[in-house]
Amino acid sequence: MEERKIRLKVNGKDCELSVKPNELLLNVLRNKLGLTGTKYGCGTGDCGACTVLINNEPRLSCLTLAVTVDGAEITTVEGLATNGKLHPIQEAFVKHGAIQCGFCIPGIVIMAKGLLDINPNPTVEEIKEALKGHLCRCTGYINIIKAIKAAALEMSKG
Amino acid sequence: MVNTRILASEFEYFEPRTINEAVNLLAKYGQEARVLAGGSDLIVDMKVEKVNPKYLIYIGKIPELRSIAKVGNEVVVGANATFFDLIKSPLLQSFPILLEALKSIQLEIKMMGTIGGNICSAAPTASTATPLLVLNAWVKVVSARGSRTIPIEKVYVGNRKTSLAPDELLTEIHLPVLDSRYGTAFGEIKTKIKFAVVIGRRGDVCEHCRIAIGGDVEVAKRVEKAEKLLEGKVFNERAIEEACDAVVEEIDPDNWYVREVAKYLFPKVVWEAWEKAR
Repeated sequence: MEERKIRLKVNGKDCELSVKPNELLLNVLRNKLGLTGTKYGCGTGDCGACTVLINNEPRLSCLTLAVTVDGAEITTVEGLATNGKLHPIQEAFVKHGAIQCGFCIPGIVIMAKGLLDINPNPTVEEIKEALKGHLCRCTGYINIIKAIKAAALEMSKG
Repeated sequence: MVNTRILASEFEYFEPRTINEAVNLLAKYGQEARVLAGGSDLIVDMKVEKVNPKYLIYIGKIPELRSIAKVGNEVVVGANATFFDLIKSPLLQSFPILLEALKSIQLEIKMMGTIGGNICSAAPTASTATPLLVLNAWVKVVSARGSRTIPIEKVYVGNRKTSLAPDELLTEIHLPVLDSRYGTAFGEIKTKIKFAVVIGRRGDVCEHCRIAIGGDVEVAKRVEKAEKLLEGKVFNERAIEEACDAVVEEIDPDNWYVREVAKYLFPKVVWEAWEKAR
């Protein structure tokens, strides 16, 4: 298959890449850009581990062809911290013990960022709704919910 | 065992900028082509080798396919509008039954999945299927041969089968605005069973009734037998029970679990629609 040139802005940095039409955004991020924070979990849209922000919307990078997002802004978990300082969502996850093995966390943290952008003060029910596309085998979700709630509060303080 | 880490299949990729370009590609490659919208169904099907198109036509770069507008007494939704586009559109707020059905979709799929993709996948479990059926929605499909309109119940012709020809592109979904005296309700138990109901009442009598079933059935559809059992009758427990029996007949007799949950869910949904009707 013939490669096509695409331009992406990944975590604020412009990149020009050559990709085959069947290349998944997930693999472009991981293999071509070395951003291995985003995980491959199920590959079928059930687990949420591959979630990234595409133009600020949480989407599944394992079901997205890289060619289709030419020109888009992508944010991965690596792009949340600024100047070596963790994002308030990441801080809250650490503080509330929301991370155990951590495999699902990049996807969940990115989803939380997308959620709080749309809904800065979600209820516990709304957080649970948003988490339904994310599988976590360790935590039982309770501390994840607490962390997202706390992050919302922290972020509302500005 | 398929490797879902990659998309192994190879295809020629097209990115039309207009509906015209898209239908010309479909006219040329229709039989061996698939239209890619949000990708949440098609990419999975391609990964697991359920489908293996030679040509992939991505319609995400056609702006007019994403518009939502009010035209006369209808809201016209572009086929490539995402679930989230619908949820946040002020025009869609007059269709609470449709929004209710979109609630259970995971956030990421709300951003990716499109109403047109949901219709064309024609899964009986599709979130939009039952509300569209009771809203009397209709669709516009375009091909190089011209265009035609199809009522939604004539779109779903089988399990994951639509009546669209290979060279046809779904472009618009038309939603007639319901008279505000009608009551509507939607209920589901996961992907097992879904009901959408529209009811018009006069006093104690059910004047008008539309019922759609989806979930673990062959195809999402209207249950006319149940509708007729309620229409013109005094709305009470007995009438609902008779309609419920007709609804359950639509479910495979061996599928006892879904039949049982349907018996529980159906009366709840019908009552809710009745109570909202004025």
